[in-house]
Amino acid sequence: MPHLARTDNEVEFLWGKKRGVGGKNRGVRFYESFTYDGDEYSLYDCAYFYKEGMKEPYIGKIVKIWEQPDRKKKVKALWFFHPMEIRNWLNDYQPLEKEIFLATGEGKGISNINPLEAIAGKCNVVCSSTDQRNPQPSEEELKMADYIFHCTFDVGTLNISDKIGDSVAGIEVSFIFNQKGQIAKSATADVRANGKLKIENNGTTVSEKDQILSDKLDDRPLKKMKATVASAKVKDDIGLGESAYNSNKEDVKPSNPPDSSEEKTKTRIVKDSVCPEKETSKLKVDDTRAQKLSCNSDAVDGKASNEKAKTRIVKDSVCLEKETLKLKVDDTRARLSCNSDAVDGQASHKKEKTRIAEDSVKGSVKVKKTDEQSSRPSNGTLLKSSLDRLPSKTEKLLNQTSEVAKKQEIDKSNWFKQEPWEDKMKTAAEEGTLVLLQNLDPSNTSKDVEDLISRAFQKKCDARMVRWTTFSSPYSGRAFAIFKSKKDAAEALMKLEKHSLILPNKRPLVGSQGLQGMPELHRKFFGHLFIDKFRPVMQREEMKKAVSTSHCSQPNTIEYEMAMDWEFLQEKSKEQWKALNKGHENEVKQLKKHWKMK
Amino acid sequence: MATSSETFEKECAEFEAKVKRTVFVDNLSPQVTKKVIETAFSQFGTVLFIELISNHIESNSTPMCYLVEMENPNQARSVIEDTRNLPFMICGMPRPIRVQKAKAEMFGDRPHAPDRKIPFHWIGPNDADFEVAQEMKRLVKRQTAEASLLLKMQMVEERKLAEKHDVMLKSNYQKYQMIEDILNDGSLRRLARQYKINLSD
Repeated sequence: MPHLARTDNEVEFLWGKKRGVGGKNRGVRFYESFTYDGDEYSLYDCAYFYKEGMKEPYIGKIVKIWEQPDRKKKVKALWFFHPMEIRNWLNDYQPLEKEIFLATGEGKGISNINPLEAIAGKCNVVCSSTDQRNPQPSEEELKMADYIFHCTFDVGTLNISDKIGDSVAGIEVSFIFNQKGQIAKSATADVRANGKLKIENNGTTVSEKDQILSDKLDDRPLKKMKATVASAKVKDDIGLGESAYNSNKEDVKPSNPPDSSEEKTKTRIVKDSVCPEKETSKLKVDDTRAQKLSCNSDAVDGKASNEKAKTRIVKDSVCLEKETLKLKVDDTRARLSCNSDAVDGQASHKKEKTRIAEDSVKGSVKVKKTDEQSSRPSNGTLLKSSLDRLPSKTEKLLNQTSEVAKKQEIDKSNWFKQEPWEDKMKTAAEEGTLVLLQNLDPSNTSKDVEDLISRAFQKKCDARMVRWTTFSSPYSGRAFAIFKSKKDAAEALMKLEKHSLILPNKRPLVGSQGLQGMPELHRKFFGHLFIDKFRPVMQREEMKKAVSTSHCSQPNTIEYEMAMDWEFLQEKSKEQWKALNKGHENEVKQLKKHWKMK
Repeated sequence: MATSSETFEKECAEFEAKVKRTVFVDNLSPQVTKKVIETAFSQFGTVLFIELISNHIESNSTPMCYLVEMENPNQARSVIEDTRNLPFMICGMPRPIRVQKAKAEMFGDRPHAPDRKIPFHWIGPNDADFEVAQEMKRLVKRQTAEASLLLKMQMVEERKLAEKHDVMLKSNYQKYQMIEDILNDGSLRRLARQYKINLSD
């Protein structure tokens, strides 16, 4: 008996078969089916659900339908998971195309009660499980399906299994599997959806998607949601790859206007532009957590740098301060300690080494109490970087540091291995024993180089390969060699010039003196912007917090567009390097052709 | 002899495994500390080890590079994919970091084959190929010069972009500030009343 309910914003709604009554005072009425916005839904059908604030619809199986005494209509949905949602627990399982996972087990997230209006459309989910109790779908049906599933995801044990027990979340298993009439019904539903859902199966391009969005601009809100659902699904099909990334970019523009008009009407419409990354919300959550964690450590960081107006220069000088301090302090486990030193020492802003050494001793004592966890080798490397930028007089400082070191108990076994190389390079550069060797094979190791030098020049040396970075040539390796004396180095260089030491693959070894680039005192880093602060203190706090943590940018902010510019620049520079290296390689090849012997 | 080659192979295998689960991160600001990186990357999984790659060849204004070792190759892959999809910013906006797969040459401590010796030979001025060798040496020098020039040019581009963004950001900020000020001191309300416009939003 059809039961006319009040029309909801001109969306047609009709109750279907009644099922029974229940609840307090028998005021709750259960139903077996209903018609909503032209689609007929029955119990155990699957539908798309739009949860407020989510960018992608959920897929759920309707397991209960009822109307409350206050005329509110509710459905209970048993959820399906997208592979992306459970990818942390997928491990090596490779999900098929269009595969989703049924929720089972005990715990949060298996099912929810939603207002009926959250339903955004019918979804054809076919069960492809080979279980005997499951009516097997034909090839055609599998192809026509929006999604398939044959595995379950247990929300309690976080396990994936393809065995379905006798009941799932209180629902008898026969309702989980395909129902006999179901396939036929969903076929008609598809046809009725007038190709909106069909479009995505052909793999739309971005422009088509835009059209869908703009076409629906004037339509009723529900239809709009379907369009966004369709486009969201298109994204699913394309996958989270480069294409999705690009389409994100292009989506920002067209979908923003429709969405802004939407906001004023229905509340459950997606507010942001269509973006399939649920990880962003997850990342945001983690960020707030991480924010709290690092807030403490970075609060001091920010404090040190927030003394004056937030100009880059200040930061650089603070940086420099930190670097000088780091040289002395050798048991600092994190920048935190240096910053506390910086706060101490910043008042003076002097670079007197003795004064800093005192402060550093104080600071390092403080550090011992704070519990930071970074690996011990990292200690050495932190020092490595700081040592780069300092002018010389390292010997004197070394003596001081060794004193300081004795006062603290740290495990220096790894640390000594790494630190002296940097140090040695510095001294060697000054004394003239440092030689840069080029045109080696990139796969050589440091020991190879040392060995080679000793055999070729009959001289002993200490060598390290220069590590490959973004701007290193991929076919030619470099190494630094420190000879025993200036004379040795000079002799080696002379010999290399006069004669040629040919390595395998017809490469002559090229040697040159010392460090090419002069280490600059102020490290300039472009691209981190700040707003000058003349605002009250409260905003400063926020700004401080914002700068001292990491986050993924959302597509609807200015910083996202700026980030796009940077990424473009990065890509461009990558291409430039590729081209340059290719050009070099060709030049070398050309030259090798002239090689007469062998 | 056998044992040393065995250990070498084992080392190689371990090293390969390590390379597979390490990512190379660059475009980081000098302010970024290891702790920040660890927290940032722990969203993708467990971070085992972080190492700074210091740069001696070129001038020190290049952005920082780090090697971050994750727990397994899957986590490394998810880091790369996620940062490719959405710009990930650490310790400042809006310059995003760049993450790539690590290569063996990026590591400082590669396993060393115990018996391997690099063959070589000397060529004197009387040798037939001496000229070619000299030419090659000159070529190498020229190429390094070209490389450092490219680097300098890229830094200039970066600076220009940063300045452009700075200007854009400041102008936007002023605009918002202005709007906020107007809202705050009621002049907007006054104007609305005057023009009889409804200020609902």
